[in-house]
Amino acid sequence: MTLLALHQVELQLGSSTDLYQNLNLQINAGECHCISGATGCGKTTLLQLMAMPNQFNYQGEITHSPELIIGMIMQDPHVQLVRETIGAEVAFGLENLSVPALDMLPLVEQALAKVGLAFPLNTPVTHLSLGQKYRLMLAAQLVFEPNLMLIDEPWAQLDNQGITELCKVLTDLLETGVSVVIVEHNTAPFTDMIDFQWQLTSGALFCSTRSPQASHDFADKISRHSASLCLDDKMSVNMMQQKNVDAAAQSNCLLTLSDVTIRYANQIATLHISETVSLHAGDIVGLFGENGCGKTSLFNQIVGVSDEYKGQISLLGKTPKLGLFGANLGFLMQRPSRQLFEMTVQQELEFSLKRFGLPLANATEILTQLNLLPLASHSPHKLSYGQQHLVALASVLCIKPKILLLDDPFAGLDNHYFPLVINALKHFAENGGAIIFSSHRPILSSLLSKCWLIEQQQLTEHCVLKRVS
Amino acid sequence: MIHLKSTKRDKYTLTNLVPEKSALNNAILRSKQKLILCSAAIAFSIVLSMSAFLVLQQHLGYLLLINACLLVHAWFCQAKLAPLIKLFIFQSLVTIGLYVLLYGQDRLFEAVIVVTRIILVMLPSWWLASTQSSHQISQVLSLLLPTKWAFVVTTSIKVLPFIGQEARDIYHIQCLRGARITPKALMNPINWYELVKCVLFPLLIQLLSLSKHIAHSANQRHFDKSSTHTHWPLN
Repeated sequence: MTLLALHQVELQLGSSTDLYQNLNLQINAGECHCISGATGCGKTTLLQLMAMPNQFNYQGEITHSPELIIGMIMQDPHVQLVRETIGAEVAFGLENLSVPALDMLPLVEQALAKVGLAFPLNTPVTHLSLGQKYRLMLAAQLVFEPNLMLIDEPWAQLDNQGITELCKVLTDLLETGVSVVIVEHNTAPFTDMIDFQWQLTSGALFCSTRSPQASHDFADKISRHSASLCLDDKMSVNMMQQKNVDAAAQSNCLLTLSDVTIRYANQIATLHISETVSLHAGDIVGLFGENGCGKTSLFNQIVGVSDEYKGQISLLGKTPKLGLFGANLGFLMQRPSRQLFEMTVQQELEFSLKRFGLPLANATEILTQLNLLPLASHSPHKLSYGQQHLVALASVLCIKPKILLLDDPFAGLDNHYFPLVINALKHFAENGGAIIFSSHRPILSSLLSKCWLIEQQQLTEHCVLKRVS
Repeated sequence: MIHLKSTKRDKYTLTNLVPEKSALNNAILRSKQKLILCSAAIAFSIVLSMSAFLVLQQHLGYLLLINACLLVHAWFCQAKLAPLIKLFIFQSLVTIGLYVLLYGQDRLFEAVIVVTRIILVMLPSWWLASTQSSHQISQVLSLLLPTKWAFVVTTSIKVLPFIGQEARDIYHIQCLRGARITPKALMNPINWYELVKCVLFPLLIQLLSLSKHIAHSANQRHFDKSSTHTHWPLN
C-alpha cells in the first residue's frame, strides 16, 4: 500500500533558486528509505514538505493515503519538547486528539515501553540525556500510532549507545509495518534496515547504487576507530604523564588541568580529572564521551564562561576568565549558527578581526581554504545549517588563536565539507596552534595527538596509535 | 543530566511507570488539588501585578512585603533568584539613569517609585512561572482562553529558562569574539548598540526559529485538529 507519493514536485526557495525539480518518491508500507545529500541541498525541507505540504508553495503532486499518520523527529529534540514531564510530553498528541484523561495512561506507558524509557511518568524532561530525549520524542510520536516515521539526521545528535537503541526501535517498527524515512549523511549504522537509499542532488532524488562497503566510507572517514578500537589504543595514564612532563620541558604548554572537579548546575553529577592533563602547541586532542557526560561543561570552565570547578586550570599561564585571552583563544560552541549576526559572511569574519586589530585579509584566506568564497557576499542567515556551521568555524579560525576549542564541530557536516574542515584544522595545528574538539563518539584517531576520554564521570588522557594511511 | 534507572526494554514492567490503582487515584486527586491551587495562584498573581500600578504610593510598602514573601516561597521551591536580581539591578540602573539624564536629580525619588512599581508588576509573574508547572497553567488558562492562546502563553513561560540560557551563551561567545559588551565596556553607552547588534539580534533570530519549530512540532502532533482538548491527568 502506498502511504505517500511525491510526483514531479518542484519547490522554489526564495524568489529564484529551485530547491527541487521534478522530484519523485513513493513510500509503501513497511519500507525504509534513506535520503542523503550535500549540506544545504534541502533534505530537512523535504521531510517537512512530506509531513506538512500545506505549508509550502510547491508545484507538482503530493499524495497522502487516507490511512497515513505521520510521526516526525527533527534534528534537535529540544525544540520539539513542549511539556515538563515525560508523561505529559508523550500525552500531548493525545490531548490534542481529545482522548479522555484516564485512557491516556496505558497509551503513554505503551509508547514509552516501545522506546525503552522505563522511568516514572512524572520524571522531568530536563533530567534526561539527549539520547533519552530523542527516544522520548519518538515515544511522543508513536503514541498516536503513526504508520510513517520521518527522522532527521539522528547520527549527528546521538552517541553510539543512542544510535544502537534507535536502530532497535526502528527495526521493531519496520517489522510491524511502519514505514521509515531517514535523512542522514552517515548511512552506515542504518544499512541493515534500509530498503531504498536515495541521493538528493540538484533538486532531484537518485537511487543510490553505493555498495555496502562504500556506504561505510563516510563513517570510516569521520569515525576511523570504533569505541573498542580506541580503547585498544590506550596507553597507561602514568606513561602518558611521563611523556607530558618531557614534552612540557621541550614545547610550549598552553593548557594544564590538575586535579579538577566540575560541579554541574544541579550539583548532582560531577566530572573529575584526577591526574594532570595538558595541551601543547601543535596538539590535536579529541575529547570524547557520551551525551551529557560534561564535555561542554569542561569547555565552559576552560574558556572562563563558568567557574564551577575545584582544582587548577591554567590556560596560557593564567586562571581562565571570560575575555582575558583575546585573540589567543578561539571557541566554537555547539549550534554555532547562534553567533551569526552580520549582514554578509565576509562581515561576519571581519568582525573579530576588527575587534582584535588583525589583518582583514585573514578572512579571505580562510574563506578560500574552506571553499566558502562563493558565499562571501551572502547573508549568513539564509545559509543551510551546515554552511552556517562552517561560517562560524571560519570566523573563529581567521583570528588564528593559539588555542582552538571546538564543541562538536563535525555535527551536520557532509562528506564535501568534512575534508575541508579537517584540512583547515591540520593546517592550523601544523602552524603551532593547539586544538581540542569534542564528540560523543571516538573519531578521527589518525588526526589526534592524544584523546581525553570521559567514562563514569572521570576524564583520562590516552595516547592514540595513528594508522598508517 | 542525571542517570536514571536501567532502560533495558526487557526489564520494563508496567508498574515501573504507572502507580497502583489506589496510588493512581491519589495521584489524580493530588493533581486536581494542585490545579485548584494553580488557579488561585494565577488569580493572585494577576491581582498583585495590577495592584502594583493601581495602589497608592503610601501603600506600596504592603505590596513590597507580600512580594518579599513570594520571593521567599520561590526560593524554598528552588527557583533561581540570581538572574531575577540581576535583571532588576540592570532595569533599575537604566530607568534611574534615564530619569537623571532627562530630568536631573530632582526627580530621583520619582524614578525609584517607577522602578519599584515595574519590579512589583514583574515579580508575581516570575513567582507564578517558578512555582507552577506550565502544564497546570495551560490547563487553567484553557478554561478562560481559546486553546491556542493558552498554549502560546504557557509555552512562552516554559521556554523562558531556555531563552535565558541562549542569551547567556550568545553573550559569552560574542565576548570571546572580541565584542565590546563586557560589563566594563557597557559603561560606555556607545557600546550598547553592539550589545543589541551581536546579542539581541541573534537571540531574536533564535526565538523566531524556536517558535517556528515548536509550532511545527505542535501541529504535527495534531494540535490544530480539534477545537476541544483533554488534559493529562498526572501533574
